[in-house]
Amino acid sequence: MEKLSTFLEDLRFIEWVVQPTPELQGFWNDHLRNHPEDRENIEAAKRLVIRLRIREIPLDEKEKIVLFSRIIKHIEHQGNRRKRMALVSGWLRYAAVAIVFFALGYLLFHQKESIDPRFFTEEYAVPSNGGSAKLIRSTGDDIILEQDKSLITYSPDGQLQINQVPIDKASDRSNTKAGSLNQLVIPYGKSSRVLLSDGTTVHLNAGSRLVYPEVFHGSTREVILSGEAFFEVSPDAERPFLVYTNDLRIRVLGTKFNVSAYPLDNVVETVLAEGRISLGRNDENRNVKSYELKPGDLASFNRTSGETVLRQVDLDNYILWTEGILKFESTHLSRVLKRLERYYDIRFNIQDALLGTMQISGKLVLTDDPGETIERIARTASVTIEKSNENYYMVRK
Amino acid sequence: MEFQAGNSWAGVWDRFRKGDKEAFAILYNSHVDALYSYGCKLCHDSGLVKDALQEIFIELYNKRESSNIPIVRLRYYLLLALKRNLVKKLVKGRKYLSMDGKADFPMLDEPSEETKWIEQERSEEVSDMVGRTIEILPAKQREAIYLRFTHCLDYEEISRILGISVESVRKQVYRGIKSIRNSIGKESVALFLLFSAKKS
Repeated sequence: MEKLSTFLEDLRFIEWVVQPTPELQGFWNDHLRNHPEDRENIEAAKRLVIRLRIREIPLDEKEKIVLFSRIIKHIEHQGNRRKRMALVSGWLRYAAVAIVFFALGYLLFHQKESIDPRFFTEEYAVPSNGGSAKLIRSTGDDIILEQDKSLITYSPDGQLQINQVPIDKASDRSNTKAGSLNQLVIPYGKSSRVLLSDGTTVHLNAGSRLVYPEVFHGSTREVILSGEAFFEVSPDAERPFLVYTNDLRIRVLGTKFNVSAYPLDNVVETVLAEGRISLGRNDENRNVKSYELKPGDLASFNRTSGETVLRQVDLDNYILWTEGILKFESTHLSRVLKRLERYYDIRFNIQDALLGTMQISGKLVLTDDPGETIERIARTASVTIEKSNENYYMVRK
Repeated sequence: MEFQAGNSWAGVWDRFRKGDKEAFAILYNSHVDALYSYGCKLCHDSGLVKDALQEIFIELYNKRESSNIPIVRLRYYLLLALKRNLVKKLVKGRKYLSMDGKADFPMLDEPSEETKWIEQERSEEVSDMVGRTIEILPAKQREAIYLRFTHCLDYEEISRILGISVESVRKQVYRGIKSIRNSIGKESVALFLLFSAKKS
């Protein structure tokens, strides 16, 4: 075992056999060149190492993702308790990754075809400062949406139009099947309206993402949402429409409702305008009850406690944003400012936290110029809002 | 997956320590299979293994800034953390490990259908025989050989995981190799006989 065992003693030798790298390859090729007499022993040692290896039992792909998503959710939760204020941009990323992994898991359950990994790995965080809106297709080609407000439509056979201009069908150029997924990313300061292939309209608010197929297949219509959207689902009793968020699953037949599920917010709000929907956790293993909403109902799901509370609300407060109007009633100033932050892609710095809890009511038409809107808010709340630089505003008494 | 700057492990590690979730996912993906595999060899309860994995990855994340783990030895740190975590869980669950470790570590007793220690290479008769040979090895030898030749750990790392001295690890590995070599020797004789029997 003499000469042979010196190789077996050498970790660089084992690594070369088990997980070769170019460096190791080079090292041992050099060795063989300089010591041709070792060849026989090296071959024998190599065979032995291969035999000494033991087969791994890999974790099932699906479980791998579920496990990682659990890890991320846990980490996200820690952050929630520890330093909610500090980690604004970091936060977004955590939650966004959770939803990406959730989405990926969803994909693996529901469709087996391979997908360009870039579809999910690239820019998984919601681009919050200034980026342009983007349509990412599973084929890997991205379409930048130049306008602040874009209109995206899919015909029943999946033909895509952006602001009325037809775009080549992805499946014409590559071999992807119809039903390939698209992902719409809308940063702060932008919004979009999507007409899906089944006739459903989705108004996507600033700072949101929506994942959906070009054409719906199968017995359900399923989309994934992060952020806020108002859905006008076209009725189809045969194929229920399902909206997945990071935490919830909303099941509808044909109806109008608004979902606000921003990764940064601790509360996911679902408001029903017309029809009926039922709402449950997206985690099917859990035995938690689902909730039936009546028109005018608001369901607030608390992500920390996992509890859902139902109450009747004024619909206008929740859906007028689709018309560019903000209506609020005894709403905390901080909450109103948060909406403006998303709409205009600006930031407010509230000097005194107490100031943020001041309740205000009113109706705002969101003009293109943030200055005008901010002026009106300042007057309503009797506070001073000063521009400190390009996108930052100071709020004080 | 495309990496921009820092395609290297050092780059990934650096990004991970800054809290980058994609880097975390890359680390997770490159170790989770091996860890799960090792965990299943130590403990039949795959649910328990997954719980342990969840905990050690969360711990890895939480300690990312303070830890001074060199990225090249990350596999070792994770294997060690996993074993400690599982032992703790098993002890807590009133499943004591006897001195020779037979009790709840299937690695140390009868392998189940799932956790069969099968040889890596093409499954010809020969490698099947070697696979079985590895199974006959005493548990400590098997685990040492596994850590050495599947995960490329050095003797000191193995000694910490097994809780025995470096010298003993060396001895165990040496003995294990010897047994395997002997059985391979017998095998080739057997094959040779079989072959010549057919020929004649």
